[in-house]
Amino acid sequence: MNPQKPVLVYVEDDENSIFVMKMVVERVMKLPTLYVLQSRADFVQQVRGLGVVPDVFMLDIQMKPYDGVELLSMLRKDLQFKCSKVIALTASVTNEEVSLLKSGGFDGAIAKPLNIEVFPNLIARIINGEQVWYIA
Amino acid sequence: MQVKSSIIWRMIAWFLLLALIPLGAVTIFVQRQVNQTVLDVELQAAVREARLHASESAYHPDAFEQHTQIYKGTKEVAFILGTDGTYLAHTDQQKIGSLAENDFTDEILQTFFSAENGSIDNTDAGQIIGYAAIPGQDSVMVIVKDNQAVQNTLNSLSRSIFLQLSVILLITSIVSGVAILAVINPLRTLANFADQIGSGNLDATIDQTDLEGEIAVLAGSLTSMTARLRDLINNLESKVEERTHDLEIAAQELKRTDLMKSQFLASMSHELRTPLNSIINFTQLIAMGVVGPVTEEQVTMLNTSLSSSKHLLQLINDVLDISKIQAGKLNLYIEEDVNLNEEIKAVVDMAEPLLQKQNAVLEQPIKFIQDIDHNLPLTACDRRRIRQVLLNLLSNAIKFTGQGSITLSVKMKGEELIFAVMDTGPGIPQEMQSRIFEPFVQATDDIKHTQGTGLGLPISRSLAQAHGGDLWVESNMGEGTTFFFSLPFRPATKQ
Repeated sequence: MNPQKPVLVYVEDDENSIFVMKMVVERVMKLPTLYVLQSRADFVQQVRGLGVVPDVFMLDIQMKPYDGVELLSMLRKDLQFKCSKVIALTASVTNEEVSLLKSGGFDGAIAKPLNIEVFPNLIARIINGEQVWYIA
Repeated sequence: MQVKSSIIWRMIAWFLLLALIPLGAVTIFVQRQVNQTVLDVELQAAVREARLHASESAYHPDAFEQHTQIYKGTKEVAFILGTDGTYLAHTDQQKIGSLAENDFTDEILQTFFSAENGSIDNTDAGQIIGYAAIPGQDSVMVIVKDNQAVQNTLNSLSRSIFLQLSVILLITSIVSGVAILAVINPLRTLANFADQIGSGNLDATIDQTDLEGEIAVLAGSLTSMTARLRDLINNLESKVEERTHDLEIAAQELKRTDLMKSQFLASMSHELRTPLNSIINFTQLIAMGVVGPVTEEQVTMLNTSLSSSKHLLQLINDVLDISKIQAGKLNLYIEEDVNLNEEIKAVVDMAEPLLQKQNAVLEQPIKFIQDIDHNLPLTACDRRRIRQVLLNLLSNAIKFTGQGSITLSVKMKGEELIFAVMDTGPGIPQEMQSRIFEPFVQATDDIKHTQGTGLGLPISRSLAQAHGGDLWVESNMGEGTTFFFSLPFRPATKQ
């Protein structure tokens, strides 16, 4: 755990969303950096390559070739990251999806567009072990 | 088949009935006539015999003994009866000197002496009696003939007549049956043919070689009718096939369109919202001053842009919802044991900033009153959709109320939870009260109030109804409006 300066990883295929998240993390939350990884088969290797165990993974749900749910299952196979929190970021939060995310083992979900004012607090709560479903 | 058999049997039964009645009547009539004639002859014969024996006995004292020898060994009897009622002579020697009242009734005995001669029908006792006074003597000659033998002969004759008539009737019946069959058989063939046509076998044929007259005409008509029917049906079948094919194509087209619509909706959901999300977040970041200093005027403009973008996003969400509702694809995600007090609080938390924003420009702030049961029971519902409905009602009330108060009341009533959002706004005209539940209709055209999408209420009502509840409005112009939303209470199924 990196309580003072939590390490956040974001997996997203939309450039604009990545840009917004970088601004929020680095300028609003004032964290050193946001690690942005790509949805690929070597996802776990990419994480290992960071050289640090991330505190929170933020996975977009609608991505290709691997969606957030698939990336989560890749991650959970590696015990090194068992303490990391994994949340879903999604634009279309239907009840079925939320139910799927909950049963799929996510620690929470945050709806897009981000509510920038409450976002830092949501991340803090997640790091503290709380499940956060900020979806409506 | 049952019908055809019954025709034959009915005809035979009628024939037998019609033949039996006159035959029976004739038989009975003839038997009676013969009986009467035979009886009359017997009676006359008895008188003649009595008179003959009487006249002979008058002149020859031994005549009785000689002439009545013929009765010996038969059941017939002859005797001479004296006026004192004793037998003076008798074919049965032992009876001579005894009283005749032992053998005959008084009435009969008196009759013997009432006339010169005569006869008595004593058939009941099996007797025919002839009597004649013996000239010059106070006695009467009586001949008692056995009627039983005659009756037996007559009965045997009747039986013989009945038997012969029965044989004649049987032969007649058989001949008639054959005659009836000759008529019925072509009818039966025709009926079989009609039956086959009736059961749908239009390829059925009938052999017309043995048919004559009206039956042949009928068979001919049926055959040509069947041919026409066959043509018609074939034509119809090909038309139905054609139409079915058209329908199949239309159904496939519809399926394809429906799929396209679903894909379009999914695409709307993702492709439209993704850039809009970026616009909203970029605007928010700029307005917050994250990327550099902004003036107050710029912040105002950025916030306007932000609120318009959010409105657009809401519109997209609402259009998606209404499309799902209209396509019957809106599925609720029902969770058990939902704590409504928590959900209501969350909605109030979301609505209060809207009210504060509204109050900021009002001289007299609008009061927000909560009249909520603190211990609402846990119930099964789609909590996100319940929040959506309640937030829609509250934000509408805030949007359209310029003074007074807004009251949110939630109560358990019977088996239902009743939510009521009451405002002191301008009210909704009667004619609009049902129209506001139609998509894209709003109660007012006032530009100030066109922030909504016009879809909130129809969506909310559909969501309430999908839960088994309802959503309705009561409003008086100038007094205010109350929206009611009922939610059936559904306790947890597992204890």
